[in-house]
Amino acid sequence: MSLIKISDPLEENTNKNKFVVGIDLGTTNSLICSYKESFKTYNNDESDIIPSVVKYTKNHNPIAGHDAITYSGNNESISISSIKRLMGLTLDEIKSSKITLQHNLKIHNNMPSIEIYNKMISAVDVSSEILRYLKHIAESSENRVLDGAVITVPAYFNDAQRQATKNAAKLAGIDVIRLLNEPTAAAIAYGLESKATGTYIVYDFGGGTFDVSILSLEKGIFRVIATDGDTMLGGEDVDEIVITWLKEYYKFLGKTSYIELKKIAVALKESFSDTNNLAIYSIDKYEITLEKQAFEGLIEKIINKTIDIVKNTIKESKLSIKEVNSIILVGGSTRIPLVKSSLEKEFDCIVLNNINPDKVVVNGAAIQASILSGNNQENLLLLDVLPLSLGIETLGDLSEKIINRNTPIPIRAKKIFTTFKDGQTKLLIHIVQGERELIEHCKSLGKFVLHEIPPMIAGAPRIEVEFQIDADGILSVIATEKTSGVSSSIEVKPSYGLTENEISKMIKDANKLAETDMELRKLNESRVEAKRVIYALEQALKKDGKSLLNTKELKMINKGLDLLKKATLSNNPDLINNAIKKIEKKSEFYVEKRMNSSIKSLIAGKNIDDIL
Amino acid sequence: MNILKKNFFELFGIPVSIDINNTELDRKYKILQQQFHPDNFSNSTNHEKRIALQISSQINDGYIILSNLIPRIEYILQINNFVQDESKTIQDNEFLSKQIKLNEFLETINKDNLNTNYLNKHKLEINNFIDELIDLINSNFLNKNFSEAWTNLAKLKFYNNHLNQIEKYILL
Repeated sequence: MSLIKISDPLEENTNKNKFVVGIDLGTTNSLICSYKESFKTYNNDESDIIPSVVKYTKNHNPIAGHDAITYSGNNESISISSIKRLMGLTLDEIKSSKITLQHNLKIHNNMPSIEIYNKMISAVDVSSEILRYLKHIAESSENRVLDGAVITVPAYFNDAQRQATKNAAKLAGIDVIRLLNEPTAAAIAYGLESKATGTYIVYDFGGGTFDVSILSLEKGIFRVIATDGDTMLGGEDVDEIVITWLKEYYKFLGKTSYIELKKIAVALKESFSDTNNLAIYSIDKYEITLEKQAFEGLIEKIINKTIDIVKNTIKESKLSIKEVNSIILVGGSTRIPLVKSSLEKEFDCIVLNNINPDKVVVNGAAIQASILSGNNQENLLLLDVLPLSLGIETLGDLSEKIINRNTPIPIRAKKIFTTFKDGQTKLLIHIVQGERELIEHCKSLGKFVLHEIPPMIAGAPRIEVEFQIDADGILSVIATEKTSGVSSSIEVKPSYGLTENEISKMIKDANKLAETDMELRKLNESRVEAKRVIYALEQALKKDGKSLLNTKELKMINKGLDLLKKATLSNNPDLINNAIKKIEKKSEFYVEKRMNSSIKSLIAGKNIDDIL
Repeated sequence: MNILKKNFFELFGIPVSIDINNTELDRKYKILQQQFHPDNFSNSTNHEKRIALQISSQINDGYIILSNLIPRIEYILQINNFVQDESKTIQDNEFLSKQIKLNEFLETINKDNLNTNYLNKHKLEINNFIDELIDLINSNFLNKNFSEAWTNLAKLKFYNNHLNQIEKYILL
């Protein structure tokens, strides 16, 4: 009797290339793309530029992308577009902004939401529908489950906006490998293609946001020096200006719907080029004409605003324009001829637009995804910065900055707090983001309550609060009470968005998974994690286990590894997770030894020259 | 030795000094981040990820402090365990009258009619004061006279602030 060989499905998975993508989740359009020797942008028979539109109908599931625009079912429906502009904003912030709303907003689950057919839909929900759709077209094209994605965000997005984007991805069932700043993504696509080195300005003018970053590119390292922008400035503002102009000069359009007006405005805007100086649009028996010069007069204010931001960023970076090699154009709105000519006039340097401005961001994200997942062996390190200062509220409603803008990330800051009254056991810390002095002018990120402070006389407790910003620009907070040695618990009350528990509850609701499915999923996740831990440790042991560990330590770690391997054979995810925790704890000292030994070899004099 | 317990000069492998070779600092910074940036650990265990996040943050923190003059001097005082009573003020009448003069000078700047030549000359003079102070602090450190170094640092901060304020006027 011969034995039938059955390969371990997990084994197969880890050996194969991972299916990872870059996603450009834009205000007006979105793209999804993978990179393996060449780029593959996914589409659904139509264009690979997918409208960021979701249509909700009474009886059907939400429809996203092209289908949302072409859908003409008999059911009445509600269409949502430009949702990115509302991501991470509170109701008050939306009200005080210049965003024109098509729908009434109410608060639900701590977030501004639109009531659609008796269901409350938030910006995160709408974005997750777009992401779910993107995931779907990529998965059906590859006939494979997506392993992870790098999602791009405007560099100028604050913590709440980043958090909201991550939550939307989680809801859509996408594992976010990394959030990547849009200008940085563009620089990757440009830099790797042209092997460019030097200092570059990325001017990213999209549908709803404007971003500028100054980067230094060299072989293997892309470093952001400064970033600035306006998350409320984009091509859609150009459209609004043209719509106002239309209504003023073509009175017969008075009764035309907003959607129709927008269509005319976009068509007029897009017909200008270096050679075409007159835009004509025919509607019924009328002809609407707009001269390029008049158009440029209308939008001059917007372009000048972007140029002021560029100037300010140059100032922040402590560079002079002479040191800049060139300006890279990104985003569909840079097709407006006035953008390029104004930049050339103002800064007297080369302005590059040779990569399709719609795709350059998603291409960069796809490259980064393939590098981070290990599919691509390219050596590339991205060093990004915090776009907006982080502060805490102090007496007098002022923000005291604890981490300044344009600080390289990841970064952490520690701050010691104490009590105000005798016997005080709670302490409220209010965290804000932004450059202004007054709290009310900054973005409130959350209020953190420190509990269980041992009762002492006022000023005696020393509570150390650590603010950690990770490589995605997202904040986490840890607090410990120093004098008593008791580590205090921390309760997070985000001013915006959802707690971790609410997200997992929503994922559960959204997927309507049966309990057994959830269990299976949990088991699978635990096994994959276990596999990763085993692999990482075994690789490490092979490399330096003998030189860094004595026989006793080696034996202990190997024993832990064996236990974990045994645990993965069981069907109990808790058992596996426990074994992971145990081996991680046991090997902590070894991991630290490895990190220390690598730093030693790096710093030890002559080795450095060998490395460079 | 634990990386996270190293002082920043040790971390970057450069001598403890006010004068720093910025090219060398930049070079070491990049080498360190190439090794420890969390992106290098996206396929590692959570524990490794956590440590990498901490170390990478530490490298960034060290880089910011060492690459800027005033934080660098403050840091040298800190690693020498020098703590100054915060209520202490500078007892130096000559410096005090200079402070008053310079503050008055700021008020005389006419925003609508900037005399750039005059301002540049003034800035040059302030920069000379700063250079003198740096030399003084350098020798203070050599003599381990940290209290004197602290006083000179306070003066240096004042001049630096003064320059920043002038910059603001020019930009307005």
